[in-house]
Amino acid sequence: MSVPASADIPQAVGPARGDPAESDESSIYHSDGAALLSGKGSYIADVKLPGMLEIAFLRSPTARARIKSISTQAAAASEGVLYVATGPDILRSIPTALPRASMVLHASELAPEAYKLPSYHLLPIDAVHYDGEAIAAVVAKNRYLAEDAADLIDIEFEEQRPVLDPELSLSDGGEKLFDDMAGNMALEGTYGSKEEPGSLFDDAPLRLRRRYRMNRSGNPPLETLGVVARFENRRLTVWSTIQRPQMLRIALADILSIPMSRVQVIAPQNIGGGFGWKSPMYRETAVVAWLAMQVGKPVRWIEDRTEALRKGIHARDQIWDIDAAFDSTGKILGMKCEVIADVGSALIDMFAVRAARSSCSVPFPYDVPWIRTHLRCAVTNKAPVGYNRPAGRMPAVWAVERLMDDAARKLSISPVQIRVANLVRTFPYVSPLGGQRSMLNSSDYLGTLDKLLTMFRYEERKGEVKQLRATGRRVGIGLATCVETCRPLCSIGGVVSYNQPQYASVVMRMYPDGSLSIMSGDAPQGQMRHTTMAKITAMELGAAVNMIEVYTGDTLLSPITNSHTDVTSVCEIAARRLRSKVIKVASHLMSVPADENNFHSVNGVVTHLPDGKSMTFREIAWTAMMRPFMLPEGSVPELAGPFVNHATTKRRTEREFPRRMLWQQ
Amino acid sequence: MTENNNSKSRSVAVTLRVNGVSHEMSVDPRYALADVLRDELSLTGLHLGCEQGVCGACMVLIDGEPALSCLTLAVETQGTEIQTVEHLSSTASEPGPLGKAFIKHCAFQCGFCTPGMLVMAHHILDKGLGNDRDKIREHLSGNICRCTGYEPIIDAIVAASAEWEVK
Repeated sequence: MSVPASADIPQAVGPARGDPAESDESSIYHSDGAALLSGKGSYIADVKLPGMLEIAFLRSPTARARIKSISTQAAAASEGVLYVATGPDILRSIPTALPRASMVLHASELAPEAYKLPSYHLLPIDAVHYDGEAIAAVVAKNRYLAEDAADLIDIEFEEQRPVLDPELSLSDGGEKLFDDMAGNMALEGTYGSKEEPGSLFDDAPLRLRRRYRMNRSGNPPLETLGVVARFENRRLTVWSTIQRPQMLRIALADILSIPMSRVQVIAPQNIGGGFGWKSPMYRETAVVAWLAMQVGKPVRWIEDRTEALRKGIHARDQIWDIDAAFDSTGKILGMKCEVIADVGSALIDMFAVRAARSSCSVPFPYDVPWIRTHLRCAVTNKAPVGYNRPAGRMPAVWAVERLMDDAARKLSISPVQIRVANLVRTFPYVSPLGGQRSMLNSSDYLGTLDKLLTMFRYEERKGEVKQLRATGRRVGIGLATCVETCRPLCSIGGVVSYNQPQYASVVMRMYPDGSLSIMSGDAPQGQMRHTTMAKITAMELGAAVNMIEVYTGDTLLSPITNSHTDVTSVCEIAARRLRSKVIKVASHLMSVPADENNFHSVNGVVTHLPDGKSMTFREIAWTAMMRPFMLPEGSVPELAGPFVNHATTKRRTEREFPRRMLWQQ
Repeated sequence: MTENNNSKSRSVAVTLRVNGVSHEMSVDPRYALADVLRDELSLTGLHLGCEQGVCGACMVLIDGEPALSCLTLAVETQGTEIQTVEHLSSTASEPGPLGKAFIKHCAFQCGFCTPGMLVMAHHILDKGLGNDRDKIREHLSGNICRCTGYEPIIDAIVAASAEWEVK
C-alpha cells in the first residue's frame, strides 16, 4: 500500500505536513497561564448554572454539646428559603453511619481492627464534637438570604466540657467522646526496631529525655472549598474543589446509593491551591449533593474563610516524648519515642490517622541504629486533622531536629557537626523505621548539607545574626533536614491506609487531524500540571506541543487513577505506547517493517530513517480513523487508550490484602 | 437613588460604571461590590479569598485607587469609575507586558491571588514605583499568595517597569 497522497485528505483540517509546528517551549506555559493572567480562570465559584440556589451551613458555636432540639420553622419561613436540612432529616434517606468502607477503602480491608473510628452522619443527629461542625444547611435564592435564615435556626444545646488535651483524652479518667467508640484512641501503633535495646540507653555517654510539642496549625489554600451539585434525569453531577475527583465519585455514589455510572464529579480546570486541604471527602460535599437531589435545582456552597479555618482540616498537633542515647561525638545510638497525636474529632475518612502515622513510621535522614516509635492517636473536641502539607512529617522533623540541637549543646559541638555525625552515608540504607519498604536508596546527604551551607553562606550569616541580635532584632539560624517520601513510599502508605487505587492512569486520544487530548482524573491545584503533562507527552510522542490539550478533573472523561505526582509521569508511559500505535499504522502505510527503532518522530512528523519516508500525525490519524479500510483487517480505528503505570506495590499488596472485597460495611 | 422597602431584601437603583461601561442596576444595599461584579456582571476575575479585607484577591481599582471589593458596598460606588482585572489585562491570547513578566518570572501558580496581584502591580507601575523593591513590598503587603512566594512577583513587577508608561 502506498502512502496516501495529501490530496486524499481534506486540507482544511489540521496542519499539513511540513507546517512549522509550534515548538517554542514557553508557548504552552503561556497558554496555560494566559487565562489566569486575564481574570479568565475557571474556578469553582465561577461555575454558574441556570436557576442555581445557594447553601449556607449553620455551624456549631461550641466544641462539645448534646443537641436537645433543633427548630427550623423560622428559618424555613424566611425570605427566599427553599429548604432547610438537619441531621435527622438526612438520616431518613441515609440511615447508614459514616465513614463507609468506600471512604477508607484499603485500611478497612486490611486491618479494620487497628482503626477505631467514631461513626458519624452527614449532619449530626444528637451531639456536636467540635467548634465549626456543620449542624444544618439552608438552601435559599442567594447566599445573603441563606445566611439570614441560618441565623434563625434555634438549637437547644446541653453544653459539655470539651476535651482539648490529647493526654487527658487518652488518660484513664478521660471521658469517652463518642458513644460508639471504646475509649478515645483512634489508632495505636509501634514502629521501628523489633529487638529490645538491652543496656544501650543506660550505657550511653549522653542520654537526653525531652518533650517536644508541635502545636496545631492549618495550611489552607487561598481558595476555600466549594461544591456545586445538579441532579437531573437521575444523574448527579458534582463540581468540587477536590484533589481526588475519582475517589470522591466513589464515596458519593456509595453514600447516596446511586450507581457510580450516574455520578459525575468535576474538579474545575483551576483550583486555587490544595496542599492536602482539598483531598478528603468533607461531609458538606455529600450534603450539598443530597440537597441538589431534594430541591431538584442546582445548588452551590462556597465556603467562607471563617468556616474554613474553624472546620479544618488542621494539621500537626503532636507531642513527642523522646528518650535518646548519644555517644560522646554526637553520634546517635538509639531513640525511643512516645508520640501522642491529637487527631481531632469526627475523622474525615482516613486522613487524620494517616498523617499521624506517617509522622512516626517514615525514616529520618539520620543513621539511628535503634529506633522505636509508639504512636497513640487521640480523639479530642477539635476540628479533624488531615494530610495538610507537609503531609504528616513536620512534627517528627521538628522533634528530631530539636533533639539534635539540644544534644549538640550538651556536647559543646556545633549544629552542623552533630548533623554531619549522623547523616546516612552509605546507601542503600535500611532504617529500622520503615524497614525494607522505605529504604533510602541513593543520595548524598553530606554533599547536600555542604552545598546548603555554602549557598546560604552559613558561617558568614552566623556573624550577621550576632550583629542583628545586638541591635535587638530577634533573628536566628536553624538547621533542619528531612527525607521527603517519594512515589513508591507514598504508594505503600496509600495502599494500606487510605483510598487511592495505587496506580496512575491517563486517557490519551489522537483525533483525525493529528491533535491530541490528554484526559486525567487528577485535579491540579496550581502545580502547572497541565503544562507538564503536555510537555512530557510532546517530547515522548514527538507531537507538537500546541496540538495537545489537557483536560483534568472530570470523572466522565478520565479513568480511575491516583491523584499524586505520578499522574504526570504516567504521561511518559502513555505517550510511548501511543507512539507505538502511531508507528504501527505509519509502517503499514509506508510498507516498511514496524521496527520502532527505525522511526523518528518530532513535531508531529514521523520519519522512517532508513529511507527517509515521512508522514504527519495528521495523515496517519486521518487514515486510522477515517480510512480504516486502508489498514489490515481487524484494525481498531482509533489511536487512543487508557494507559496505566502499574502499582509499584503490586506484589506487596497481593501478599497482604485479603482476597475478599469488603466493599459494604 | 430610589429605594424599594417592600421586602426584607431591599433594592436600590444604582449605576455602576465598570471598565468604561455603565450598568443601570437594582441592588440590595448590603451587597458587596465583589458579589455584584462577580454574580451580576460575570466579572469573575476578582476572587474572594477571605471576605474580610485581608487577602487582597478581590482587589479592583476605584477611581484609579486599589480597593477591596469584598469590603466595599456596591451602592457606595455610584459615580465612580471601577476597573477590574479583565480591563487591565490585554486579550487572553496575548498578555501585556505585566502578564509576560509574570510568565517569565513564574510569578503565579494556582492563579487565585493573581488578579489582586495584577491590579496592585498596575497601580504600583502607574505610580512609577516599579523599580523600588521596598516600595513594591510595602504595596503588596495586603495581597496574600499561598503558593508561589512573593519574590517572583516582585521580580515580575520590576521587570515590567522597564517598559511601563508611568501615569
